[in-house]
Amino acid sequence: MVFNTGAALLDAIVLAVVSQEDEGTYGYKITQDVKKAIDVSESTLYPVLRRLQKDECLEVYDRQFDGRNRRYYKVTEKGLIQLNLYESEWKSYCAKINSIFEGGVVS
Amino acid sequence: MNRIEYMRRLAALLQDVPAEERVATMQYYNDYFDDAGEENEEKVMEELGSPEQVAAEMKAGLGRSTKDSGEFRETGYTDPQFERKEVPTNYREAKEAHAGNSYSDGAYAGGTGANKGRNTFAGRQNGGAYAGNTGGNTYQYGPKNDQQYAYTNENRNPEQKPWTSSGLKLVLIILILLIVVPIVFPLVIALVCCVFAFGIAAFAIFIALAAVAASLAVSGIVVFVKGFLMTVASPAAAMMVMGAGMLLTVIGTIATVAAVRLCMIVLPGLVRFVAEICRKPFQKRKAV
Repeated sequence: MVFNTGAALLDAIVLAVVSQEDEGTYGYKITQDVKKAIDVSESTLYPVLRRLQKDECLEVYDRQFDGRNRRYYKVTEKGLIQLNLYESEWKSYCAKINSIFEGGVVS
Repeated sequence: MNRIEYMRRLAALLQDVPAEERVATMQYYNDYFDDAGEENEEKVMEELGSPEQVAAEMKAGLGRSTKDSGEFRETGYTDPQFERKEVPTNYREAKEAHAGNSYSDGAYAGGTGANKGRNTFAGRQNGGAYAGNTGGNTYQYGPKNDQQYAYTNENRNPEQKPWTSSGLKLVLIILILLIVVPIVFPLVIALVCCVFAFGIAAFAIFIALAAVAASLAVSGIVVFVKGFLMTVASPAAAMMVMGAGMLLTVIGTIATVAAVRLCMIVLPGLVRFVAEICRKPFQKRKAV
């Protein structure tokens, strides 16, 4: 990708990916899903998840899977509000960029 | 490097972060390996990058809020704060020094509880114990101080203070006094007592001298009186005894006067001398 991904956009993508699973999802799957959208180093996602967890946008719980505990991440109420904010910001941002690309004048 | 070595290395690198963070990070990457599957072990390690990189990014993420800037470029996560923090040169040495150390004696505790089934550390690692949640927050890996100190010391320039500070000097002086006073103080008292004893002895000798002279004079008088009483019975003997008595009396009187004069000369001098000796240490101390 030629465009850089800011920390806020990465947060938004991670929140979006996690919110798609009602039951929550786990680290490896989040990484794979995020990588479908943007090219990001695998080791950068853990700090993001940890930070979102600390900011109470994500909550974690352990669940038995295949004879071991697997840590699941789930979006909180606060996380959903944050995600909505990101989405609306993104839409307005895209609209502005698109209008410039399409030759329109930004009003 | 296999998965076990990778995780051990990572844990060693995370020794200087809070235990809670370390355990959470270890669990995350342990899960990550588990979920990727054993067949993808090599690939996962390649994708994640070196344990050093993982640890550095994890540390860079500590204590930062969502507002902090940072970009994810094609080369990966980039942040000015992080870019400056390159691996110091002495880190390599620490790493090499570290290579010889094994973690086999350290217990690897934490992470997922029921790990027995799949790619667990417990299953793969001989000797080292990878305990489940029961271990709580204790990750213990071999040497604690080598690499993370080498890793973090770069930005720290501890102020080198001289070995002897004024406080230390004071403490030393107090210590010396504590040791010396119990020895010196009795010695001084003993010395003073000796001087006093000598003074008193000298005084006594001169007093005795005067007393002897006085008693000589008195006995002379007594002898003279005895001689006078003998005059009727034996005039010749009485004359001789009376003469001897008079002689004794005169000699005793002269000696007494001399002794008293001597005392009057010597004793004040003696007293002055003793007083001088007693005063000397105090004067000396004042001079110091």
